[in-house]
Amino acid sequence: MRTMRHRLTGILLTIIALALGVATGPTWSQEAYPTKPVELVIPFAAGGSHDLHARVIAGFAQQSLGQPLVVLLKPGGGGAIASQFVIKARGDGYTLLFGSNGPNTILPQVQDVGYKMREFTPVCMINYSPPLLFVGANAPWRTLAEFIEFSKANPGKVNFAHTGIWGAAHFPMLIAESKTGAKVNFVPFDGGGPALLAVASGNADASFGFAAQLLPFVQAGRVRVLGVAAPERIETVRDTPTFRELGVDVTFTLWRTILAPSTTPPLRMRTLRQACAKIVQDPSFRALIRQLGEPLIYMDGPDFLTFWRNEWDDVARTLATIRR
Amino acid sequence: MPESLAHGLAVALSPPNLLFAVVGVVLGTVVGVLPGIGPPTTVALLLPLTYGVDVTAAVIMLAGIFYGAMYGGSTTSILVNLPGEAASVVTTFDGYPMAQQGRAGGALAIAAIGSFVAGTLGVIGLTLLSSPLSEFALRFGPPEYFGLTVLGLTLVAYLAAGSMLRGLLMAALGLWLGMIGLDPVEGTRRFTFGILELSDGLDFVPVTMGLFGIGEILYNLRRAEEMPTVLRAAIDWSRSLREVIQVRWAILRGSLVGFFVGILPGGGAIISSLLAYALEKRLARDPSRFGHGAPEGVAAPESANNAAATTSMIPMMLLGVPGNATTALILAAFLIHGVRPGPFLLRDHPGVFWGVAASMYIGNVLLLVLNLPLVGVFIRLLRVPYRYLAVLIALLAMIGAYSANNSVFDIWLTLLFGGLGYTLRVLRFDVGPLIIAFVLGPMVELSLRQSLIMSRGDISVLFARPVALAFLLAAVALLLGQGVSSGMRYFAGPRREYSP
Repeated sequence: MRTMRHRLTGILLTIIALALGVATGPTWSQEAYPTKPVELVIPFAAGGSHDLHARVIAGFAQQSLGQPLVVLLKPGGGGAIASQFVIKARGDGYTLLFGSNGPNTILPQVQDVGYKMREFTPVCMINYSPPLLFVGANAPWRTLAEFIEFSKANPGKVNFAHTGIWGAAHFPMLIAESKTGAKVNFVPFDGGGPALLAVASGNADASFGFAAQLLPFVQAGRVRVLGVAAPERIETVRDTPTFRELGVDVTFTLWRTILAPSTTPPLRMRTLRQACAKIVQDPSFRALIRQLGEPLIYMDGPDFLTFWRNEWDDVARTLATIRR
Repeated sequence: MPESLAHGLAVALSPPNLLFAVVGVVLGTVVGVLPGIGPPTTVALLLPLTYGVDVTAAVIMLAGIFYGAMYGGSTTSILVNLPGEAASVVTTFDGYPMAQQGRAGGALAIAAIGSFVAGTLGVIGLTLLSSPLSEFALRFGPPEYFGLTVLGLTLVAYLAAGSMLRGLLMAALGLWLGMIGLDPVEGTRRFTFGILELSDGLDFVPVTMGLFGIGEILYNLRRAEEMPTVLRAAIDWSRSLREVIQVRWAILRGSLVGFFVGILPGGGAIISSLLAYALEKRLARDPSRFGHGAPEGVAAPESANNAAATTSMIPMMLLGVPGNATTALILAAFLIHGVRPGPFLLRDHPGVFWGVAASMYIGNVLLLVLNLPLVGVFIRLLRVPYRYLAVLIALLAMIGAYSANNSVFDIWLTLLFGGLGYTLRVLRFDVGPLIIAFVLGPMVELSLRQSLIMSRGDISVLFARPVALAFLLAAVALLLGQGVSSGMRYFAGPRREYSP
């Protein structure tokens, strides 16, 4: 009886195996991938710019990847929780991180989060947002030079709103301080919206913010933008100079890059990179991304790796100066 | 203004927009009822589907989900002590006792009608006052937030169903729980014991799912034998109607509180419902009824959270600053369609603004029509024997806790807080003050430290502005009033025993 059942099971298993073999036969040798939905893990909360960009990407991914891209929010620990989650997942190309410079460049250098750069391989960068230095409409400073001069002559006089230690409104100002000798009085706020309102209403004097949220306030004459912390000027505020142009080398790019664990097989990496390169060709994809605030600034995996390495070293140097 | 609204109504009543409003509010009711699947998740999932439709229709639907969920959120709070929505926690304080006394129908009817009145008043306010109100929101700086949240914490003293000392003890525990996580100024980790998941603080959802949902189940298991298997599952409409009329002022006051607190970007539905509840208890002739099934205790917070949901659309649309995750996603729906919310929305896209506003009048009527008959359906749920219901509640609480951050850690947290909730119930402690202190504590701390950093340590910043001063004076007046009355009670007669 028992052997009989064994034999039946054996036959059944063989049939299943054959069926599977036939189904996947032709592609088996080329290592079929992806055969199930791919997860894109977001290190920040719902409704943030990473979440919104990821949903646009997910809307287009199926066509070029052949499988749906599922957006999975894992906020917490400044992005460290999601980053650790992706490293710990099997490097099989089914769990990817929508990384950024906060969790992946700055955090590993200021905290022991258990990962550095080498745990990840970039698939592609979609774009980045540079923070803009802005002041209230009634603030006395017309230019970045005036602002820096004032904060040097009156250390700690300027109430500077930021959105979290080492964050996108804090770190660039730390760089500016270390490069110019300026000194501001940092006031923490619970996110970019509250920080913007604080500056617009005069409760704080200045802050860094992103174009998408600032623009209506600039047009309404509530705030003025003094400088852009990007390598080049950005199209939304064409006439605002970059910090670098003004002789203060402050760059900070909140990038949105798909990262895979570095254990991902090269063939799968190639599939992913090809899929990304295809998506960014789509004009309606570009249009949707632009609506969210920043144009597409595509960079392929190897290019981004160079960019990222430079940024990593920059941050390391800045941190060394700040800590000294 | 009237002609703009008339134009808006024309926009909102066009068949496709009407259809989107219906879809939105129905979905909102469903996700509101299901604990854990909150409006942010739903709006995020549906956002890509709106790429293809016109911006007004997209926002009408997504907003419908948002305020529709506020209607549905009270259902499980009342029936099984499991808040369907973060903003419905306060509704459990009196809604669940009402259900246990066989008055679930009345509580649900009060919640539905209160939500309708508040939602409608909120839209009227949004129609008439949106521009001045957005200015008001802009002026609200750290000292004002400090005043408001201190007033809120002062009201905690009234929230405890039993003795004030026990209430304050719970509030202290809540304050401590609220301190876990990163220090907002220095970035130092507090009480995280090296656990990364704790560095952003305890999440509201697992804490409440544990304290309320799981804690209640464990407590009921203890006395499983004496549990009535069938609570009265019929609705007594004439009694319910009388109760609704009885609480009309609570509904109006709750709406008013929700209206103003909802405008503040850092405020929102949870705080407004807490404040409205505490205010009712303070105004009541016999505050001891609260926590034991007082209808005002359902009417005030449910009205407040609906009014707040409605007015939280104002800073999102007219300042471009969303106050919560759901409005942030609705903002994204605007952006995707090339409409930039902010000070110029009314000038550049009046049709969109008024169309959305008008659709909210229609949406509220739809929700009332939808929710009143559902009362009869939902209370039938109570016929399910508790031993089956308990499993379902536990499952929903776990799913809810997990899906907030997709974190397994939060499931363990829920169980831990379930154990705490059970222990506190056995010891006859009231978790209400705990949860309020847990929410308000971090806001008091942040606004205080912001104010003092801004003024470089000069404490007068807290009293220098009229609005901030008014809140603090109100808090002092409350404290003095309470001190006098409890002193009088102390000397007037023998001390009352704690009632569970």
